[in-house]
Amino acid sequence: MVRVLVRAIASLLASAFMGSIIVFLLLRMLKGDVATVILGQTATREALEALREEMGLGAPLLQQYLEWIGGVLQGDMGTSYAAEFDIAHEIWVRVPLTFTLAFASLILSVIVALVLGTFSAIHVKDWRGTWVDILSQIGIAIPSFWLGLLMVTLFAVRLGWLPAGGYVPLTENFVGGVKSLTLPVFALAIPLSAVLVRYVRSGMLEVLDEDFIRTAQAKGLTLRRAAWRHGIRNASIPLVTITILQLGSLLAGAVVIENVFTLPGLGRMLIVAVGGREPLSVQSLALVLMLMILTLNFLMDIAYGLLDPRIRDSGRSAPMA
Amino acid sequence: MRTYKRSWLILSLLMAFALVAAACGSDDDGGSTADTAAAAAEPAEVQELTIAVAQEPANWDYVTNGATAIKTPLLYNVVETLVEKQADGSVAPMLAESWTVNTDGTVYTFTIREAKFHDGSDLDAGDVAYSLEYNRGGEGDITTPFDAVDSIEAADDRTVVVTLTQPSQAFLNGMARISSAVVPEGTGDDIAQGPIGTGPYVFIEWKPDVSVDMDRFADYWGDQPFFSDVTWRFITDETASLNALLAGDIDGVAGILGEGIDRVDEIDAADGFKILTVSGFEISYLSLNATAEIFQDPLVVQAVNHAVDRQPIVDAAFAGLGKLTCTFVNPPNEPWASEYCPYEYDPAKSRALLEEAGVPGLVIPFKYLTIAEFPPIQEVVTAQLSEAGFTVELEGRELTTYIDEILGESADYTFTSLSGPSTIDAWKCPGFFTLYCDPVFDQLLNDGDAAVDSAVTTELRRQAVEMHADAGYLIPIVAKLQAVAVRADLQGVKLFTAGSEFDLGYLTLE
Amino acid sequence: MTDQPPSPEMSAPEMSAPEMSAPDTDKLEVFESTGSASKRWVPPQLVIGGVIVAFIVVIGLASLFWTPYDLDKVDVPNQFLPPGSDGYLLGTDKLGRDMTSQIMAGARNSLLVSVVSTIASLIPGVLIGLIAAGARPFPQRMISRVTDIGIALPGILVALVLATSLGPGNTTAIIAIMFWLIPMVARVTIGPARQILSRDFVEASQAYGRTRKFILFRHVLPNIGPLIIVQASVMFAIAILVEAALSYLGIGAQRPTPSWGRLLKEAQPLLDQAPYLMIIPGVSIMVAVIGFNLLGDGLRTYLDPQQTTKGAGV
Repeated sequence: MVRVLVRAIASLLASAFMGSIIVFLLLRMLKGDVATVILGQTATREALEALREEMGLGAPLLQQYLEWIGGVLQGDMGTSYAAEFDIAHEIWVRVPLTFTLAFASLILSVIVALVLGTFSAIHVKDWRGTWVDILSQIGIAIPSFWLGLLMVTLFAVRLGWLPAGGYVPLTENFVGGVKSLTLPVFALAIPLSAVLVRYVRSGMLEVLDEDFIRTAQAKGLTLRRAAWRHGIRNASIPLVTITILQLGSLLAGAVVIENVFTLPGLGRMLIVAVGGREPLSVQSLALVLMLMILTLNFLMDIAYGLLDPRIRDSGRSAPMA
Repeated sequence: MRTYKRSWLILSLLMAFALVAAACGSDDDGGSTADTAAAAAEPAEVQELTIAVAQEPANWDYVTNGATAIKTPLLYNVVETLVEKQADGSVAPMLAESWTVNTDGTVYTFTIREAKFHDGSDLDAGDVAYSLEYNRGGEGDITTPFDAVDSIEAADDRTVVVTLTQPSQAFLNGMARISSAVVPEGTGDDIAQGPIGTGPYVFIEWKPDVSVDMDRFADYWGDQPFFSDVTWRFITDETASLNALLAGDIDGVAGILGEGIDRVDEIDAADGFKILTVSGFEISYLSLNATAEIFQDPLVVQAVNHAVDRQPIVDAAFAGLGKLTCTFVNPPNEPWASEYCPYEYDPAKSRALLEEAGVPGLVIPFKYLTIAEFPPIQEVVTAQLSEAGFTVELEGRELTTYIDEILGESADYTFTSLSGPSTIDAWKCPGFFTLYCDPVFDQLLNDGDAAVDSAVTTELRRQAVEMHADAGYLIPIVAKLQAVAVRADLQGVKLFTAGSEFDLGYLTLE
Repeated sequence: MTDQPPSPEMSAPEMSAPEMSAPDTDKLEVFESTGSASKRWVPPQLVIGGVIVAFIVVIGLASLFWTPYDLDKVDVPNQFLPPGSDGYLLGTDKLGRDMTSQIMAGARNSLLVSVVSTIASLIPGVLIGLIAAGARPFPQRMISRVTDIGIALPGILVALVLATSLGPGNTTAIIAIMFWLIPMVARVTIGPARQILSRDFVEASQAYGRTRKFILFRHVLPNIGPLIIVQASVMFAIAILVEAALSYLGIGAQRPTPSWGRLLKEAQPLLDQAPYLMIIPGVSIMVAVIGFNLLGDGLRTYLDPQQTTKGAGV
């Protein structure tokens, strides 16, 4: 047991280390530098060179990497070149927004998927089930940013019910915060729930045929109640797994959606920092995002490994559902 | 059964983790807002205003970067200049109560008014002399008015004397622009994080990617402005900012230049909103690299000039708004403005010229910026060049890469489309981006600047811009129209008298 | 512990979208016992998906030879003609360009981007997966680690960085999509490949003296082939959605390259004035994605030996 844990932690650290190198090297491909951004289009070559010198942009690669990673290990990600803000603080300030966005979409999607998936499984043989299938196919195919733009036009510009963009922190103004997140959450949740609903449905279908459901029905439970009681159990593990695996793409989707709704989250920061040629900010942010996803995978491994002896013994390759 | 519960346990743990993260992060927010609240002046009456701006600068250092995005929120709101240009072109006092010029136009004596800086210190001549010297040592357009300056001295607490080596029309004009922005002595290095000034608004906090917050300055030397709290919100996408305006989230959008220009009519027609326009301080132009091999043949340069039809470009990129121009006069109402247009639109002639030069179907690499109005300009110009017998090779670039490539004396481009607030003086040898050099052109501008009689200046400058149009390396397209979208009840929007500012001081609600 | 998750896991990184899945291992039986196809019914998704995809391929290919109007013909007097106008089936855009022509050519570009990025991702992805499956535990773990990193690396970052050096365009989009897909393909391949490797006939082959390489390419690859085909159709769908999102961020195809995603970006400010400019390309993207997804679903059901109704729609 301890060995499993140690090995998992070691591999997490190894991944993080390799990841930091990959991210660092990727950022060396960034063309143009922050000196150009600061001085703008009226700059002279001499002024640019002087500024680059001053900022130490020309240091050898290895030195740059060691300085960066050394700082990160001590919790210091450095300051941005142009705006001179503390990068770690800037990331930390933005975490709540992106996380709220991602998890609110996730929770909403899981609920929608459970309800519609069960409904579809119960009505698999009639048109009601077919409708859910069709909706799910459409939901999967909708580009989320397009959905977002259409919703802004309808609910913000035409009807004026919700703001067109921007973010009010929930702690400052709860109602305002919920309003500012409603459209982005729906834009992310609709395609996601369309994906999840299919897993709920197939999980449900697998058990609905089984004897104990018939027994339960015979005992007087309606099919719907039997499905809720037993089917959800069957659907839950793949659902949770897929949900956690979707977190990575959800964070990526949030980048685009934050852009549509001008939400100052981690995704906007990534785009702004690349545009502003702030390799330190981008590197650190990318590393943080990677670590979050790697850690989630790690926690999932540990959790499954520790909690379920069957899985622990056979490895996670055994089918569980 | 057991695994079912466990999987939900894992999910719950993850959610709890998220909530904790959210809570911690917001505590942090709370701390910083408390700090700023302490710094705010006690409001007589709270009136909030939110204005969207499309571009967020890398920092606020207007001394090294002349970008409009930096000046728009700062000029006249946070920092003030010695004098102020009026709508009729005359110059009015601002931080200089009065000034005198000696008879040969080489010594300016400014009397500085009593005022307080936002940090509580008093404005004196030392601050002014320091600021002028500091701006003089900057980069780009901010330094040009100082070209003829010999010395800047504080004669006493209230008097600043500027001595020129020769008379300069550009000097006093420049004192009405950002070149004479005043900050407290010794604070030049702090400008990048938000300058301290004497203006009606205090620069409170810059939240990167979100906003700049400003509060009314209680000790302002002039009248107290109507709005107590002003927020400049960065909304990169003009569609999003106009949507926010229509949805009532914000009160105005400053400087619509990009894709939003297509919606000007829609906004103006909408209930409760209006569009204000004024001839702007930016000219959109095409630039030919005078050192490029294909442009060594003047016939090819002429062929490019004859290929350009301005109206469709303006229709496509600026919704038809703006003043078409063949000469580079910025702002377009300067007295030396000229209707001169040496190259009429004539694609057949372009083809003939290319034939004559022996290069029919000449390949012309067109490097263009892939944001704002540049893609539509590129599309129309490409079509026109093809029509005129060129073979266009497109090279799309992202902003910083673009600037990096086209900049400097070894510029890596042949032909491009640009836009900017410069004046014709930027094309003295080596020309801004064009790298064009002609000693006669430089001489005309220098003589014009040194002339004591402004009529002579006007004449010489007119000759210079016409000569530059003849050369054909810089093809002006249109003097852009600045459009500002605001709530219909917002009054007192004073547009662009010094280039690129958005003066909050006169704004009120009906 | 291995890294093969128990269930479907592959999804579009840019937006939560079509999922890629390793089929249940018991269904792999079918890949050994082929030949009973005559008994199978053709699932409706396969037919509908096939028809949609065929339609898109036809209009995309046709646009190479003929479009109603010249693609980049700027004709400002005819701007903003609504769909159904005389001579303009889908109307015209802000510069008077014919939307029908642009949608046709956009289909071609979407197909190009998705075909190139799918093939360019499948080959290395499957190779990595096969090598990992056949490798000893330590190198296998190493490969798993690298694919984990690949999946955790924000793909959008790759696109943003490449756009600064290569410039925005199809190449940037394709490379970015490959960064997303390769680790996912590798991950999806490892599990089924290992299942096949544990079969009796593989052991027999080993006993017969076949090399590891021979076994991987002659036994394993053909057996996971149908799975790969199913995944490929889903990857097409992902690529189309990602291309659209990258174009929306301004780092996809630029004019004169036709692109549905870029049409959406251009139409955005005109949403109030000419909503059809936003609706038409958006619906085109949706239809194409639905087509490829249905095709994938249909193939999966078609290749499923159990052929029960439960497979339908999943």
